[in-house]
Amino acid sequence: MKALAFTALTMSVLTGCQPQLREEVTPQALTQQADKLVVTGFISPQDTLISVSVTRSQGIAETGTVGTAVANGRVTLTDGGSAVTLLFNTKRQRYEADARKWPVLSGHRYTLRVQTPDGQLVTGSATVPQPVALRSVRLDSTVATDGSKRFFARYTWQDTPGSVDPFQTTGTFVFVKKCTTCREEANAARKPESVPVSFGSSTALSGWVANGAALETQGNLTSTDPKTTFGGSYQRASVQAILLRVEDAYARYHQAVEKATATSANPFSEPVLIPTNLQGGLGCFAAYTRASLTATLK
Amino acid sequence: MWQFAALNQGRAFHPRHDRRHDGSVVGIYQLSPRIRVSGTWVYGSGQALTMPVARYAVALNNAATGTTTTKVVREYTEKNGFRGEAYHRLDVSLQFIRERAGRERIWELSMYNAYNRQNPFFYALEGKTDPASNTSRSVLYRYSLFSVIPSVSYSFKL
Repeated sequence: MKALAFTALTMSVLTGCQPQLREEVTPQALTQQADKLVVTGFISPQDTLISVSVTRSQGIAETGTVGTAVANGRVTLTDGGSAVTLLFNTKRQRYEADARKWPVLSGHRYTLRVQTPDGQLVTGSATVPQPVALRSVRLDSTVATDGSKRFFARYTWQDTPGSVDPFQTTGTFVFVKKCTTCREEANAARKPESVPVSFGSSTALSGWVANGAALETQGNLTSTDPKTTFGGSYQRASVQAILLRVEDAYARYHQAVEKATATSANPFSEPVLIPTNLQGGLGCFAAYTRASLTATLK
Repeated sequence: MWQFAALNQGRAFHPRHDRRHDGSVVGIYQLSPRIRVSGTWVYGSGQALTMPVARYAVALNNAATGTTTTKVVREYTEKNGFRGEAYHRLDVSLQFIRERAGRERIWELSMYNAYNRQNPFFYALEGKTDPASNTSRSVLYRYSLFSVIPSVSYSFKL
């Protein structure tokens, strides 16, 4: 009896010790992070504008807007011989220079230098890949297991031997739908629509180590009823195909950012570390070349 | 330490389940022929975790439209570069032993996690709103599972 009374007393005392099972913690390693400069810039011989964004990172426990542009920095781009200073565009909140006056050339190596009045310095280098032309863009189709007919745009090109820079394919599908019940005038007045060619991922890459081989990829255009032909669905259709040859740093950065944003809401996903090729900061400075080909689909 | 070219930008890092110290001390003492006291202290050093330290806006190049898209991402520690808090707890028990009709009967009072240590089960980064300023910030929460748990048992041998 005494033992039972003792037990009941002990339990009633100890149940009062129930702590909060969820408690806020502030480890120094996480909360005492200095803000870093975040620099993003992609240069290409086909672009008419050299554009670089400069912002700051914000400690995970801090409040405020992320991504406010740093307007008082000094941003210069050099190719070993000459240099250009990029000026801050208050409308676009980016540092810019006219590429027609200071052209970016394939095979050249460029160094970006960003310095702020408080002494923070970020540098990075990029080598512009050699251009590769698209050989052809063809319409293709398959019948899916659910019976629908799927149409693809098939891109082909030839890799340059000895180059290890990866490729990225993108494009726009431009079309005017056909209306079988409409009058001819109404069909003629229809305006073209456009959608991106879907390669499954906006950073879809192919041919990491192609070593001169012929390469091919396909992007989804549309799907229709199996009885409907492509010509039966569209009056006019074309694909503005784009092939990028990108630096390795460009590819890794874009893939990591896409993966990080796709998994950010999933508490069980492995954190995605976004690589940087910059010294002294975060972000990416990389180069690419662009080849395009417009093909009319029939 | 592990090192792979494709992970952590080629730099060496601690494996996820790297637990440098893991041990326990067990003691049993017979106070009298009828009373026995025992205790177990368990210790394990903190787990190697990858934790967010900052967030920042990045631009993605969209070559089809000649524009850039901005995304907000997190900066993390090095892969598994953060050490969680150590795990430790003390379990104690007191046994009252009696013999009736030639059979042993035991009343036992015990306490799991006697000093009520809030051991980390997992960490989560969550938003916390300050009602005064109506601003929100990210806060790291430590979730624990078991605080002190007293128990009573009665056992007998047939």
